[in-house]
Amino acid sequence: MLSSQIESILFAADKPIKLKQIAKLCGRSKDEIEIVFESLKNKYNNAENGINILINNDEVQMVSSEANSDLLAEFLKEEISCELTRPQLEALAVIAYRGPISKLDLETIRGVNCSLIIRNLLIKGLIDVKEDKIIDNNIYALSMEFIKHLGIKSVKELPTYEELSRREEISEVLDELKTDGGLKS
Amino acid sequence: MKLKLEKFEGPLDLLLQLIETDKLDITEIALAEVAEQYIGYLDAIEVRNPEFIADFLVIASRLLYIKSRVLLPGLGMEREEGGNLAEQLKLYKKYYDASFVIAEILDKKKYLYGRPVIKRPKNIQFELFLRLNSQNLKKIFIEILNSIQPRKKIETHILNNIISIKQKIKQIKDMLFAKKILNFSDVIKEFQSKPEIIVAFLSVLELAKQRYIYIEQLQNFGEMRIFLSQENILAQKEE
Repeated sequence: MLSSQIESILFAADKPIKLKQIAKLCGRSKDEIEIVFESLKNKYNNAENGINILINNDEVQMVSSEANSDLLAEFLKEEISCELTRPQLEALAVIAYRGPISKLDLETIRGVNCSLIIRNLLIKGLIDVKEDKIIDNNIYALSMEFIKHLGIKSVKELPTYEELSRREEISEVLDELKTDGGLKS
Repeated sequence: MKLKLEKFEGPLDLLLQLIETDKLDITEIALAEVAEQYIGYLDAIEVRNPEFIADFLVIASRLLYIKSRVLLPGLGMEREEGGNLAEQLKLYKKYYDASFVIAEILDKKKYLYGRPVIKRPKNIQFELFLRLNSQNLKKIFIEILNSIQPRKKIETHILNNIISIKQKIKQIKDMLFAKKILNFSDVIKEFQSKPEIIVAFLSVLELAKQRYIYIEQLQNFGEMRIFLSQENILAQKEE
């Protein structure tokens, strides 16, 4: 059964796995895998469960539930901290709600060159980069690691995610800004 | 000039703070109003990082354009250029506000723990020999047993049971009763080891302290002669 196969893979995995990789392992299409994840999310991601399934950016991983973070920090004797500067936070906020996002879009929203900040966030492992073949440019999204720091199972759980990620309205403003040449990057 | 430019992440940040300080809504009119203050900040800073300043200057020029249009509506300047700066600022504000929400979430420190990366050996299966059976398994085991060197025995030193001072004193007393006068060399004659000689010497000293014996030595490193004390001679006679 596909669902049980996926559960076992998730259980044994010691790092995030790509949906594509699971699809290949199970000999199914990525769409089929995604449908199964919808039901797995319902099964795991609720208050009674100590294990949740984190889904971000086409990657998945089993993680401890947010309710038990303090307990695990004590158990594993780990002090997790995520010190960020204001500009880093601002860039992460844009990437969180708008990701995957191109550097140009990020700079248009922030009104400032973001090369340095992107590099720093990449080094810290808080964002991931991949190539978008359609726009022939790099796009950036929150990393699995940063999602774990936020204690959420998906960026969609962020407050006002719907509003701030809504494509059309914001994209229109962005497109206008870019065609206007109102901002160079 | 209370605010320092270095404190601002970018031109939009500065602009937003100016408008919010004046408690204005984000509109073109508001932008026109803060244009002068904005440019004032640019004047006040040193040009240390030209790239950083460039982004500020772009916005400054747009502000000036907006301002001139607001002041001279009759000129029929086109609306489009820089006209959407207010929109851009509104958009920026959404994510600016969201960044504080994210900071709050991070402050809760609700980290989700995944399984740590484990380095497993690539191949954890045993390679089973096809010819393996109980007979050659036994043979292999015996080979292994034979190949194991017996553990080297650690040399043991049995500490010779050294005679105690108490026993020695008894011996010396017995010898004294027999001979009345003893040479120390006689006392240690039958002993070879240093500890025994030391025990003998200590015993003699102890007996002297108890005034059981007297010791006489005529010269340095000369023979020590041991006598039974007078009281003991008398006591012995009474017995």
